[in-house]
Amino acid sequence: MDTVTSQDKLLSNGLTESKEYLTFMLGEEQYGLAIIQVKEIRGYEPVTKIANAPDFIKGVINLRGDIVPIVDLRVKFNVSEATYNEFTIVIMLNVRDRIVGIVVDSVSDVINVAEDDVHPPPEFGVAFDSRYLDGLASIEESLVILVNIERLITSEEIGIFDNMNNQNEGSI
Amino acid sequence: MSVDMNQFHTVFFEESFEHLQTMEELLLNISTEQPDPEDLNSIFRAAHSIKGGSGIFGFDALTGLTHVMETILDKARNTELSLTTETVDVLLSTTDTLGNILQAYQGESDINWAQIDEGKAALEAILNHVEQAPANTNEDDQGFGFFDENITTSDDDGFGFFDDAAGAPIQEPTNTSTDDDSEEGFGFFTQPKPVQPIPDEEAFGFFDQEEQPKEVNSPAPKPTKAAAPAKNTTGRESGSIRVETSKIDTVVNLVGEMVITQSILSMLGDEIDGTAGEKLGGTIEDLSRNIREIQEAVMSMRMIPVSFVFNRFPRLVRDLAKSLDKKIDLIIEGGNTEVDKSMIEKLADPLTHLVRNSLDHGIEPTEKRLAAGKPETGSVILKAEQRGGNILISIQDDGGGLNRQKILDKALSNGMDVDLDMPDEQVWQLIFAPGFSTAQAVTDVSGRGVGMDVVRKNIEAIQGAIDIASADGQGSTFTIQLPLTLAIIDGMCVSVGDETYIIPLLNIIESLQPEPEQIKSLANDSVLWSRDAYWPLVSLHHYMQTPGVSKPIENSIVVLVEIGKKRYGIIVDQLLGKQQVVIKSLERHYKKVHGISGATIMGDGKVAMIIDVDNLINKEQLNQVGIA
Repeated sequence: MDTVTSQDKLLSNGLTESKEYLTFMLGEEQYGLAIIQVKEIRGYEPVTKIANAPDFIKGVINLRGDIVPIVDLRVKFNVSEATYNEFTIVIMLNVRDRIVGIVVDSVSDVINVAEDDVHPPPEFGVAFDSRYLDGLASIEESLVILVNIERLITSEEIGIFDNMNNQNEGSI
Repeated sequence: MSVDMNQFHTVFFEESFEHLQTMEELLLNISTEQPDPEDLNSIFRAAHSIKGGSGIFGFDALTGLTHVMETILDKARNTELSLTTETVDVLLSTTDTLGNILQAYQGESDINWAQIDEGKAALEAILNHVEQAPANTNEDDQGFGFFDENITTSDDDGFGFFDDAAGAPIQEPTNTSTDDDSEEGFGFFTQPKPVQPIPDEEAFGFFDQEEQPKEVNSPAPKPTKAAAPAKNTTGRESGSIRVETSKIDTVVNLVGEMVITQSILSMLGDEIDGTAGEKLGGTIEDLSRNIREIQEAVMSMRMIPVSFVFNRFPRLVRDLAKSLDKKIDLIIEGGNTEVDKSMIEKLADPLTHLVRNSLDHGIEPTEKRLAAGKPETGSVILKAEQRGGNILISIQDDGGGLNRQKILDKALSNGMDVDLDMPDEQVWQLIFAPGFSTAQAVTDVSGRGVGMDVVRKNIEAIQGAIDIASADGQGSTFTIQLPLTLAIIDGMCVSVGDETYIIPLLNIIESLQPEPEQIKSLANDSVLWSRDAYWPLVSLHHYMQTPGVSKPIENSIVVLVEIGKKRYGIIVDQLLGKQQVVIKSLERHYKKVHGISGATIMGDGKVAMIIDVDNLINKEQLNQVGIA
């Protein structure tokens, strides 16, 4: 329903831009990330560990011939018990010409958020530092925290992009 | 419609570049005293095919040049014209001009007509040396005519195909340009045919090539021209087919998926009991074998021999040696080493710079060589080999070597941070600094103005590294080390805890289960006594931080490895067996991991890490036994 209204709004006045977000759960909170960056959603599968990697980098998997790292955001932000079973979800993201998988508690929905409905992010109370947030949106009376997933994944804190200038190289 | 046209153009350009390449190779190897008629024929055919195609597509700039070129070649193979080095040079530079024109057409940029006229003039100058009886001209055209029959008909096929869609626009150029040549020749051929005693000569023509020219000029060459081209063209066409790389990549990935699906199938199959299960198991076994074969076949498609780049160098060396007035032999080794296509393309520039450097600055002038008691002819060895997870490409010259003092002086005058006592290896690395002109630093010969820093940058862009070894008076060697991103290596699968790792088989000397008395403890580490030496040991369990407790060393396996001067042992739990693995980049989506050279996908679809034998051990450990 919301989708329809916001689209209508977009069509009617032509001023407001809207973006589609994929919402997911981390602990008790609902987050959204720009769906344009989502490559696919998969179940968790056993990973191959990487030596000397921080514990939130679970390892790498074979995604149709690509060796793709898997980052567990639950571990990184210490938000919930990190269990791995058939219901554990991995969101495969396209980030700056690379593929990175993130482990979340669950995936909920795809929502359409009009730019006008995005409020500035809070300074605290969220697992992520506010510089990784696009803002807050309230959808059907629940609050969705919009994450700038690209900024988060490429951050030094996650540390999987070791050379920011080289990220587009090495494509084969 | 325009898209369709482009497709034909693309094919034409690709084929023409290939023809040019063939021409160049043959011209380089041709002996001026006794040219192999078959070679001359091949060159002729290549020139002719370009002419034919260019006419059809209205690339007039090509038609003129190739036409004169053909005439010369035709005379050469009829021994009416004796080949000289100068002729070969002119022909070679014509191939360059043709290449430029092709590029101009391909890039839709302006054509350098002046260059074409110049080239044409040079070619015609050669022709003018030979007396040009009108009979000869006829004969030439006649020859063409016969040959053209093949070309035009086959092209017309394509044309007809195309005509359905496009019709008029292309018809025009055909009529104006090619047909001038081809149909004219055609006419010539059909009319005088009955007059000449062709049938008799036909059989002879093939075998008695040397004698023919002494006889009457006219009919003899014809059969050679006619029969040979036809045979050859068909041969080549069935030999290869052009496919876009992206299509192969898609297949590579799909096959990877198939492997995984197949392994799931076989696991499911195990759950089924009875005869049905047995049958299913057998079928899945067949399937998996087929899939594996497909996988191997597909992988090999992406790899092309490094000779693709190497082949350009005989020409470059020949030309450059001439202009430098040096005598230089180029020796190419390991041209069939296979390298990923994407890498080959990016290798060309840095290699060209390095080979040029070796010729220009490496090899000394002849007088200097003779004075130093070296053979007059310098040699440059261009070599490719696969070593472990790397492709090594080296350019070795037997010249004067790098001049340490001059490099240091130059570095000092450039205000670089240098130490006069630094080891040679570090001194050589200085020449890679931006703005460091090798020309002034190393020899007095003027350089081409291409900095070595660009070379290094280019090589690093394909994740390679470059090393220099040089000995004063004996020459220098530049070694490019490249990862084989898609290359296949033979590996030993080893297990540590639940993890599987691959150790490149090439680095493995021996695997053994150590006896307790072979182990000696040294500070925190232990060493192994084997083969009359102490081997430092690296525990893979410890290094890779594998969860769980490592087995006591007496129950483990030690894999003795060697890379360069490093020799050590890797402690693993078990050997799982040999396997060919495809090296995948870990850096593509992640980053470089110390001690790991890449990853591979195992038969079950899981990822296994490939050990970087060169970096697994640290300096301190090697120092303990005095190896480092």
